[in-house]
Amino acid sequence: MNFSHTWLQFHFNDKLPTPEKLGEVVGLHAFEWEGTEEAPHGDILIDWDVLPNRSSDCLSYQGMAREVAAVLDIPYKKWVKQEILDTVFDSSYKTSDFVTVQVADKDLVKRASKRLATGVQVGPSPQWLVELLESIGQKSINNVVDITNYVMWETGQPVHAFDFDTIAGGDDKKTITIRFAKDGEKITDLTGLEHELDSSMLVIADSEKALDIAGVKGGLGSGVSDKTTRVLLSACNFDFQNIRNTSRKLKLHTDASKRFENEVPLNKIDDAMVQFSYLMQELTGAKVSEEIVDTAPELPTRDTIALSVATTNSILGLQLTKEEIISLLKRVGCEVLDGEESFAVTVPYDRLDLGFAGDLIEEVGRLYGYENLQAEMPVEGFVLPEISSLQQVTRTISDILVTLGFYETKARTLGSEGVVELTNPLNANAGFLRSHLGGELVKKAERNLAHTDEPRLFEIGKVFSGVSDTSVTEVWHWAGVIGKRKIKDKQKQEVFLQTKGVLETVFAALGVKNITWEEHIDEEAGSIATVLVDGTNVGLVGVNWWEINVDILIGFISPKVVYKKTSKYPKIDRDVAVFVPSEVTVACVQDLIQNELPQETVNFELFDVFEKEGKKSFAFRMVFQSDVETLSDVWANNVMDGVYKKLEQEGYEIR
Amino acid sequence: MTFIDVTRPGTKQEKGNLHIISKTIREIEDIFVRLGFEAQEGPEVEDEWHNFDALNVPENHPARDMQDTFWIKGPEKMVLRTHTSGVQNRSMIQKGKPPIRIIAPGRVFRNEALDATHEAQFHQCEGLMVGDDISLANLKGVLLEFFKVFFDNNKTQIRFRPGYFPFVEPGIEVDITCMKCAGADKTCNVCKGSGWIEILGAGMVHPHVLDSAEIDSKQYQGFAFGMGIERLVMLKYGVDDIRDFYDGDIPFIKQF
Repeated sequence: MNFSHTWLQFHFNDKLPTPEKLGEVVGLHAFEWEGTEEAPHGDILIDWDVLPNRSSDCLSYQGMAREVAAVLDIPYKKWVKQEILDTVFDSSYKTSDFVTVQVADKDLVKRASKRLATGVQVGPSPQWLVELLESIGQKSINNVVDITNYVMWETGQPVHAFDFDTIAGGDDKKTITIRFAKDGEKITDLTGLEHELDSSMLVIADSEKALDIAGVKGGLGSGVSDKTTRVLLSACNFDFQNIRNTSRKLKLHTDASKRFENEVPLNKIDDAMVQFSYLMQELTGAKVSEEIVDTAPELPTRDTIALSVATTNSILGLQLTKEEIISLLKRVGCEVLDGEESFAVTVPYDRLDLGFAGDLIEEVGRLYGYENLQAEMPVEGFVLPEISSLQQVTRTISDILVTLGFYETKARTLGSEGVVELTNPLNANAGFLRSHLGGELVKKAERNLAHTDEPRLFEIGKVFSGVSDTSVTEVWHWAGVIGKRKIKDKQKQEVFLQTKGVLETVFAALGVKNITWEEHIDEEAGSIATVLVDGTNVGLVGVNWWEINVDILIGFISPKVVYKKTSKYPKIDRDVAVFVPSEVTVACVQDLIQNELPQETVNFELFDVFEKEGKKSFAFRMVFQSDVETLSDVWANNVMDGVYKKLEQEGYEIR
Repeated sequence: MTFIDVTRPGTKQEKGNLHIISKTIREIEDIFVRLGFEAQEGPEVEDEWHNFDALNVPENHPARDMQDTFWIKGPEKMVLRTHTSGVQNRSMIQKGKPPIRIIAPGRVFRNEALDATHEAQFHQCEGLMVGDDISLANLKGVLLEFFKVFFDNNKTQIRFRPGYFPFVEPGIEVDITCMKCAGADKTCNVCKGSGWIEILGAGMVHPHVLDSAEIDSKQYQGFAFGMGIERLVMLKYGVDDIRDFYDGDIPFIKQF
């Protein structure tokens, strides 16, 4: 909120620091200082971002002056003029003879206070008031309206002036009801805008119609005009949530609703009513009835808060004395009932944010000055931090992919497709939580082709795969893509092997074993295979991309190293090449051979594939080594004879 | 001997790169692990209780206005988490009792329009330390060490101002010295001449937050903090548009 330096100064006998200085010092001890700006009439506005929990007392000059006084440790004047408190009001008639106030719901209308002013002369405001309002960007209307405005800014309590003679119900006895609106009830506000209300909203009404949207805006017709002579001064206190809802539903945000939404302290009505009445007498020539009609004049008491020196120092990390603590609390207006180590603190009635010891400790800390707090490393309780398997796995995957030339991307969770939907999306293209990473990753790779030959990308992130009445299923996925301009049919095998090779490298690093690849053609997803570990499906693979479920994969990692002494005997190797019909897979032939191999086999792999005249040739190499002896050629030939025999039995032709 | 031209460029070995957000999260994790903090994670779709109630943000509290929340269609009271603070409750329950030192980096969501400094999704890192006598002075100590290492500048200073977050009391706004001008340039576009940069929100854990995690608030106390990771990266490297992080453009990713 922008605060007028001039207006604040009214509350102090001491000369306040310059706006910049004041802005900064209050910024360090109370509210963030957003800057200063020049205002009309030589004034300067200081913009402080009043904290949400202080909006109940500091969206006002009285509240802010008290805060400035506490920060600067100087005295302040709650009342701009002493005369306000010394005013004599009119005892020749009673407000209650003219008006009765009824409240429909005492929980929502916590307090309503009315007072009658007679002999009002509506006219221009004095120059000081016009200038003051202008300096904070408010236009002067007439003396009565300006007074209501002034009182709200000064005390934080919104007030309203009703033209008493426009209220229905005869000349001398009117009933004001604060009730729920009827569904569909219409009211035109004082700017001429019509609003349709519902039954959750409160209105201030006479016997015939709603006069005012309670806590939000006055209505047309009951406001003050040139002809007004009798004014009903009105100040109420409403439930903050109710006003917040009304203001939102109507999309009507006013200076009054802003204050009510932040919960105006109950005692503010008293401060506001006395200033309102004083100014009505001073500036409009009115006589204001001494009697106030009030639905809840007795304020509920507030509990004291127990605070100890030890707790205060322990939380802040300071060594303050009891006297220092008490003196800091007194600066914000607390009263302290002295005790030995612990004491009872009575907080200012309108400091709604002060509810327990921690709140008081904050007051002590910020006024003492956080700049005086030494940085201290904690010394207690060290436990060796664990590193989760998710953290380990994602780091291993990422590190290997980076060395293989992959770039990590992060895509947005919110998009136009998915199974989990938002009720309140930002826009139509961001209404769903992603259920896969691959699609977006492939698109990103395509975009990168504009400047990169073979963009290799990966992402590890959460996807949202299901939703029930009570929960949403979220899973860690890992997707990757090798971006290609166009993959011709005859290149597909080659590109797939590139993709598969990347995955195999990562699986090996993670210690994932027993991997099988199964053909799985899904036109929609564009996948051609599934990867299984120990028979469990861990993900889908396309020609040049993959998407793996990390949560499942984690179950199969075995980072433990099993050391095996290396053999000192020589290795012996053998090759076999075989022609097979074109529909036979490598895995099929490999399995056949594998069954014939002895335990001395240390390596067995495919090293060549070619196709010729409708036949395929696979060439395998196997390496043998014993831990206990040198293997002979005869031994190896013997093994190979078994392999040849097996292959021939299947009808394959050995090359 | 055969002539070998040693001035010819070496054969190119194509190496990729981590995303700067991941890199930064690692860096944060590694610094805090050295300080005895354990990295934890929590769900991105949270129930309302963990996201708000357990953090002392009661229903109808104006503080729920501070963050505009995405709600999930279907299950009741599920939201996209608006902060990583929801992990506080889960990790305290998991640990059972102090000493507790955790950090929780992760993705968070706010229902706000996209521009150069606002994304509907971004990353945060939560920090939490609870023990017998953990104080605001300890918070200052830990954060100061962190920022010195993170910004690789031993002269980095830290400043506390009052702040308000329902889950802490006292609540603190933390500033650090401007990494661009250190206060020397009155026209600096990073700190706007103040010499200070607002970097994170923190405070002493509110007793209600401890109690809701079954940690006895009469016996234990601690601090919590939450920082925006994109913001740290933008400040550290001078990135000026938050949307660049999500484009997946290799020339952007390559630089870090």
